[in-house]
Amino acid sequence: MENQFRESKEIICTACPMGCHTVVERENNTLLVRGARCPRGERYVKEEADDPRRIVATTIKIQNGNIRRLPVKTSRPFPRDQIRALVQAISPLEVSAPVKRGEIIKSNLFGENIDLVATRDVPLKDKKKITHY
Amino acid sequence: MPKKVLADVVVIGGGPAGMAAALGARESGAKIVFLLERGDELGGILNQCIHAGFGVQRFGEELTGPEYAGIYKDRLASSSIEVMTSTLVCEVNRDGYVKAVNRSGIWEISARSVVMAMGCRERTRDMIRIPGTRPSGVFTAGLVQYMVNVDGLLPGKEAVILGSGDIGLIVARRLELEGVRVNAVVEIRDSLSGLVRNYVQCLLDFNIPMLFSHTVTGIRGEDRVEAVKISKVDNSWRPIKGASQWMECDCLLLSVGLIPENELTQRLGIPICPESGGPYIDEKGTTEIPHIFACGNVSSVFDLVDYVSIISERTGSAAALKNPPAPVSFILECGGGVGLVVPQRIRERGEGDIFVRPATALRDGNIRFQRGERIIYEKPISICRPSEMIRIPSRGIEWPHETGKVKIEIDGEPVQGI
Amino acid sequence: MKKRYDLIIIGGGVTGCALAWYFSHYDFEIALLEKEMDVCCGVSKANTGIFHSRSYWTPDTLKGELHLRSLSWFPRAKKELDLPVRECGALTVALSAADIGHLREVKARGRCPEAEIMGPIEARKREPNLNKNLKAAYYDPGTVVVSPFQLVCSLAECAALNGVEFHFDQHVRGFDQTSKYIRVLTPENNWEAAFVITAAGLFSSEIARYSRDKISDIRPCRGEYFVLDRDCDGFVNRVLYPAPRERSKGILVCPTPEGNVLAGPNFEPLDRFDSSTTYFGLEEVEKGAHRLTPHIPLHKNIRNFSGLRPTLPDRDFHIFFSNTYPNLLHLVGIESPGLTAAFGIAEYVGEKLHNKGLTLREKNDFRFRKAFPVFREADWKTREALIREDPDWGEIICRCEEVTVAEVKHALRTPPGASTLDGLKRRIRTTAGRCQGSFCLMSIPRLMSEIGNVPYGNMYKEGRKSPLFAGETREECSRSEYAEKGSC
Repeated sequence: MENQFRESKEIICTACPMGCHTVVERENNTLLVRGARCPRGERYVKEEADDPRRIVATTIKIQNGNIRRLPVKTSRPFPRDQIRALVQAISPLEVSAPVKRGEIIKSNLFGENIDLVATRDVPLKDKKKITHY
Repeated sequence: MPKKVLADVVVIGGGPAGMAAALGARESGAKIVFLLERGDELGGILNQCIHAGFGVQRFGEELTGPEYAGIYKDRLASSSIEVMTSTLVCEVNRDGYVKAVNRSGIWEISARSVVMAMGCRERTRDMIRIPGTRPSGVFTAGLVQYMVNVDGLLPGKEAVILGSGDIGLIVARRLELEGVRVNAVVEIRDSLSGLVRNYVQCLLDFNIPMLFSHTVTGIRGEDRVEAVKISKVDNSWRPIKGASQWMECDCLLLSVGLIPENELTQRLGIPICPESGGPYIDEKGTTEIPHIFACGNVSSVFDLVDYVSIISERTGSAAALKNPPAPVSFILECGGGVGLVVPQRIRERGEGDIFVRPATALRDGNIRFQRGERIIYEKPISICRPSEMIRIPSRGIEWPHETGKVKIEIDGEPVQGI
Repeated sequence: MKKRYDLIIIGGGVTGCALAWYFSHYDFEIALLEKEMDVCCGVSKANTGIFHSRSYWTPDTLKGELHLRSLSWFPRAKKELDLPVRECGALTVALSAADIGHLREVKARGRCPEAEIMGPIEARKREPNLNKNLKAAYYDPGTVVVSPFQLVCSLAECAALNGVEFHFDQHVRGFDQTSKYIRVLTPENNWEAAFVITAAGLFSSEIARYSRDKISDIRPCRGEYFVLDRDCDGFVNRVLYPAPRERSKGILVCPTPEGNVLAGPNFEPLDRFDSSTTYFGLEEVEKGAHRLTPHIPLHKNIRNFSGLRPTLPDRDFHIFFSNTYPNLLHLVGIESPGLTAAFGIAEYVGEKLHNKGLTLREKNDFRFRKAFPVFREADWKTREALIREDPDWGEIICRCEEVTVAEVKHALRTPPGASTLDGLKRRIRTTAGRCQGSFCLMSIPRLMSEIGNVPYGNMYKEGRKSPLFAGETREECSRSEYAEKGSC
C-alpha cells in the first residue's frame, strides 16, 4: 500500500458538496494538503490519501426467494483498492431464503474484521401467484 | 361486485413518499388508511438502490436503499394500515373516490383525502430524439439498475452512459463491478449533473472516462447496439458539425432526466407546474383540490430520499386532518438561476421547508426571496448544483404581512467541469 | 416419412399471413416459413396502417387492381379476424389553389357517393387543428385505420386456428424440384410442397433469384414516423393527407386504433437496407406534419421509427410463376398499398394457383378468430368478470397501456405465439406506451421465464441476434488475477 502513494496526488474532496480540488503531498511521512477550504475536508483528504475506503454494496445469489439476488453490503468501509477483488471473491456465495435484513452472510472479509451483511428481508417465494398456467 | 370500502386517507404509491405519508396519516389520527402499490412489494425505487448513501438526514446514519425501505416496511407491518401491493389505481375522481385493480378484483375506495405518491418515470430515447437504428441494448439507467440488482441480469458487455446524473454514475459503478466495461459517461452540459461524491466514487475509482459538452447523436446496429455516435455540442447543446466519432459498445444507458408521473393527477384537472412537472402544492402538499395531496417525486423530483420522507410524513398528517386549509398567502415564482421551487404555494407562514433547485451549477453567490421590492430572505451560497436542492426552512424567512407573489433568484459564478 | 404440404408460403408479413389465412379456408396442408422468430417482423411492422379507400387507388397498375379487389374483402375479413379498426374517414387537404385540382382528380377517381370537396370552414369544423390556410379539403368516409401489428397477428392466428403450420427461424437458401414437388431448402430442413409462394418483402427479388428468375433489384424507400402519446387522442380524428404528390401519398397525420397520433412518412430512396431514423428525415416529417396541423404536439413523441418499402423500378407489384419451377409463384415489389391490397393479392394468387390445377375445396369447419379481451378497453363490468374467472386479469404489469398478466399469458400461448419482446408488443402493446418499457421490463422477463419457459439467455427483442441480456451476475466466478484472493 505505501508504495502506491508517493509524492503528490490530486484528490477531489467529497466531505461536502463544495468538491474542493486539493493536492496532497507526502514529506517524510507527513501529509500536506493544499486547496482544502475547511479542517473537515483536510481530514478527509488525508484519509483518502492514506487509506481510501468505501462501503461496498453488491448482490449475491439467493434460492427460493421472491427475488433472484440478495443485496448485501460491507458492515464498515472496505479498502478501496481491493473492492474488485472482494466482489470477485464473494461471487460464488449463495444463500437460501428466507433471509433477514442485517443477517451476516460472511464474516471477517479478507481478515479486515469487516462483515458482509444482508440489506433486506427476502421471504420465501410465493408459488401460488400465477394461477392458471 | 366491486369491493366498496370507506377510508379516511388513501395513499397512491408505496415508495418512500407513500410509505411515509401513510404512516404520517395514521399517526395523526386517520383511522382507516389504505396504501396502494402497483409493484409486488413496497419500497419503490429504494429496493433497487442497493448502494449506501441514504438516511443521513432522516436517521443520522448511512443506509442502503433496501435498508432505508426496510425500516418503513417494518413500521407499516406493525401499524394497522391496509397495505395492498400489486394493485394499480386506474381512476381517481375529485370527490376522493379511487378505483383500483388487483388479483382479488376491483376496489372502490371512497376516501376523505387522497395522497398522490406515484413517483416519477425515466425520460426515454424518443423524448430526446436520438436517431439511428432501434436495436436491443438501449435501456434507461434506472431499468438497468433494477435488472442488475434485483433480477441479476446484465444489459451488455460494454456500455456507454448518457447523462451524468446520480443514477447514471451509480449504475456505471455497478456495471464495472459486475464486469461490464463502461466506455464513457457522456454529458451534454459542461458540468456534472450528479454529486461530486458519486463522480469520485463511481467514475474516478473505476477509471471511467467522463465527456462533458458531448451527447449521443446516433445508434448503429440492426439487432443489438454495435456503436453509438458521440458528438461535441456548442453552448446551446447543438451538435457541432464534424466533431463526432463512433464509439463501440453493445448497450446505451440513458440517464437523461425523470418526469413526475402525473397522468392520474392530470385527469383530475389539477394544474401542473411547468418547472417541477408536478401539481402546484402548498407547504403541506395540498393541491388545488383541498382534499387531494401530492408528495415526493410526483410533486417534484427530489435529490434526497430523506427530504421525501420528511415532507411526506407532513403531507400524510395534513391529509388526516378534517379542517379545510387556510387561504393561500404567497405564490413562489422561479426567477433567474432557479430551475424549480417546491412548494409553490404558502398558506401558513413558517411551516415546513422550501426546496429550490438551481438551474445551473454556481459558486460564490446568493439566493434571494423577494416580495415586490422587499427582500424577505437572502443567504450566500458557496456552491450549488442542479443535482442538489437548496433546503430553506420556512421559519427562516421574514414573511411579510402583505400577501402575494414572491420571486426567488440565485446568482453566482458558473462552475465548469467537476 | 417426410411430411409434404399442398402449399408452402415463404414470408410471414402481411402478404404471407393474408395468403395463409385465405388458403386456410380450403382443404390443404399448409406451412408458412419465416426467417425471423415471429410474424410481422419486416416491411409490415413499420407503416402507417391505413386501408386506403378507392379514392387513392392507382389506375392501370396491378397494385391498383388488387387494391380495389381487396376493398370488397374488408367486411368479411373484419368479421373473421375480429379485428379492431377505426373507421375514421380521411380529409385530403389542399393548401394552395393549385392543389384543388388534385382534389377533383381524387374525387373523380374515387367515385364515392358520400365523398365531397368542402371549403376551409367546413373542413376545420371537422378537424379544428387543420392549418387555417387550407383552401379546400376532400372528405372521403371510406378510409379506415388499423394496427398493422394486429392485422398481421390476427391473420396468422386465424390461419393457425385453421391448421396452417408456422415455422420460424427458416432461412430459405434455395429451391429444388423432385418429381412432383418443389423442395424449399433451408439450412436445417428441406420442405416439400406441391405449390410454393414467396412473399419475402425486402428480400423478394433475392429469393426470386434462388430459382434463377430474372427480376430487378428491390430498392428500399425509407419513411420515418413520429408516434405521439395516447393523451393526444382527439388531436385529429381522421386521416389527414396532403394533396397527392408524385411518388407517395405524402406526409400525413392520422389517429391510430389505439388512440395514438401518427405523423409520417417522408419518402427517401436508399441504396441499402437501413431502417435508421435520421435527423434529416425526422425534420422533414416534422415540417410536413406542421404544414397540415401547425400545432401538432410533437413534444409528446413517444417513439420514432422508420419503415422500408420494397419498391421495384416501375413501382408496381410483380406476381409471376417461376420459369424454372412451374408451381413456384413469386410476389415481388409488394409495397404501398400492400397492407390495403393484402386480401386482393390473396384472392388473385388463389385464382392463379387454381388455373395451374390447384383445386380449391372449401372446408366446412372453418373457424373464425375470436380476439382476446383487452383489459384497457374493457368496461368495469367485463373487467370484474375477467378477474373472477382468472385472477391474472387483476395483475397489471404495464402501467401505460394497462396490460395484465392474463394478456401476456395469452400472447405467449396463442399460436403462433409471441416468443420475443417485440412479439409481445405487437400482440398486447407492452413496451409500446409512453415509458417505452421502463416499467413492464421489470416483470416481462420473469413472466417469459415462468409462463413461456424461455430461459433468460434466450430472450430476444426481435431476432436471434438481438438478445435482451448479456448474462447474469454471479454466474461466473472469473479466474482473473483476483481469484487468488478468494480466501475470504
